[in-house]
Amino acid sequence: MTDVATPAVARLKRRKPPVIGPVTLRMLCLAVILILWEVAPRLEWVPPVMLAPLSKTIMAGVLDFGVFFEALLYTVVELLLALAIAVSLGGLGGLLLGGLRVLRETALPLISSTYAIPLVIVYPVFTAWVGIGPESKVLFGGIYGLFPMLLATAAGVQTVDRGLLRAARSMGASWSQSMWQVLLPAAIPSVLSGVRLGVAMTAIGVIVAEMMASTAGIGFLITQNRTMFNTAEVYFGVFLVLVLAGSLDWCVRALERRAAGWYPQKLTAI
Amino acid sequence: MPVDTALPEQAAADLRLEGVSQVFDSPSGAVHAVDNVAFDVAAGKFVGLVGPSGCGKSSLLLMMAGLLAPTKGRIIVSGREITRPEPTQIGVVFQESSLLPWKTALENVEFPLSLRGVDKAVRRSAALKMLELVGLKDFTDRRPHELSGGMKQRVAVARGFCQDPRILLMDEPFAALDEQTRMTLGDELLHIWDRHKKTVVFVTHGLTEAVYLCDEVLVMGARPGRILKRITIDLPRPRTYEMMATERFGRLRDEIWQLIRTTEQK
Repeated sequence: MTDVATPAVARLKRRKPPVIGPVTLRMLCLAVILILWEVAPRLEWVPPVMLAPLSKTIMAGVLDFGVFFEALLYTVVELLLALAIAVSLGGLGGLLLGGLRVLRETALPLISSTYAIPLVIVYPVFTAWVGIGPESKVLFGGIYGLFPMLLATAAGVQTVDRGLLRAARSMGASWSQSMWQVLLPAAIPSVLSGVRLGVAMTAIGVIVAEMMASTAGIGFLITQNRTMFNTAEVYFGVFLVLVLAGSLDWCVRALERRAAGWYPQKLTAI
Repeated sequence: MPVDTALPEQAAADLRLEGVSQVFDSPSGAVHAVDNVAFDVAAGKFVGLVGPSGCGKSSLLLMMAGLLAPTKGRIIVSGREITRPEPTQIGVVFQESSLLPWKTALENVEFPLSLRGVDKAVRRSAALKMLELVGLKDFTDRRPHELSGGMKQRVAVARGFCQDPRILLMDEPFAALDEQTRMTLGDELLHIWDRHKKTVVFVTHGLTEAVYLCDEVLVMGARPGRILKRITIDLPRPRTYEMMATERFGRLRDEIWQLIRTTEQK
């Protein structure tokens, strides 16, 4: 052990700290990107129709704040409803699929392969059923996010320590008690990583649906401005989508951090 | 030939195994993990189950817990056959502490009672009492990952007693611990057992541990898993460390070892 460990330790000790820390480096990259965003279209390195300068983009947002805000609110509501569908149905489905052997062996492979189909291609058919109103966005986004959520949960459930379930059974836990009080909480860490993936997919689903056929929402606004060559407005819309996705991701991460206190990594536990 | 290991008189047989067998199907044919095992355990006794690895100790324990159906034979607890887990009759303390990682020590200990729908205040005070008994009064709010290996097994033992079954099965509960901790926990277990007078079936591969803790030791042989001999440990109680140095202790330990060794060589 020691003869292996010693050189590694020595190497670690010898390594000099980097001149620029990773955080500083990240900030620098961001700054460069922002500067290029402003400078490149102004110097016509890229045609301004393809990329509006940063300042113009911000101005577009400020001038049309009411319109953007309304669209954003619309999208957020759709997104939250879609998330409710994705997380609840995906979680429940994943729990059942992972927990019940019959379903795991029959339905799970089918669902996994269905996941490979880009669902966007069926959206036009989808609108024929439920119209192009907000319901179709909620449903489509929900279904879009449901799959990764379901698959992650099912995978998580399968990795749960069987010893816990056996112990619970010996203490007289019924099937539903084992499910809700042992299997689900034990699978929470994987469910949460499923939620993170699901959130991103749901956001994509809702916004893409808005872009394809809609009368409101941020995706609609982007498409509308694009057809009118309002490049700055398009980019401001994209920027809002970015903020929306980023803050949702931040929320899930916060939840994961919270859960990390209850569920330590196996390695650190010992 | 199965060895008849039934007590000549069982005034209060708490646990009785009648011709219990467990046969697994494997690619290379049927495996007799447990073959025609029969024994009685009297109420309040501390009985050890000792044998080499692969002698079917664990299968036997799972069957006694109602977690595995015997291929043949019956397991009877206080006059009734066990076919599924019955938490008021039989409890299990597993080798790996099998504590729920997201629950605190206290929540873990009261978990079997909460499954049964016992009132929160009642189960909380019962669990607190048990944790105090295993010396973890100050650790009730810790989660398993914040506890040492020995502490985790103390919680598991406390949970087993808190479940309050007639019979407590223990599947090598201290096997993963270091020698000193193992001895300390053994002593503590005897202390609790003395106060709560439960029937204990203690599976172990530790010979010293078996002699030190038990009233009787059932020695098992492997392939097929069967009972070789029932040895009465006629050491007085309470057991003390000094007894381990006595000739009687050594003779009992040696007898078990010889039995296991001769079957291992075959």
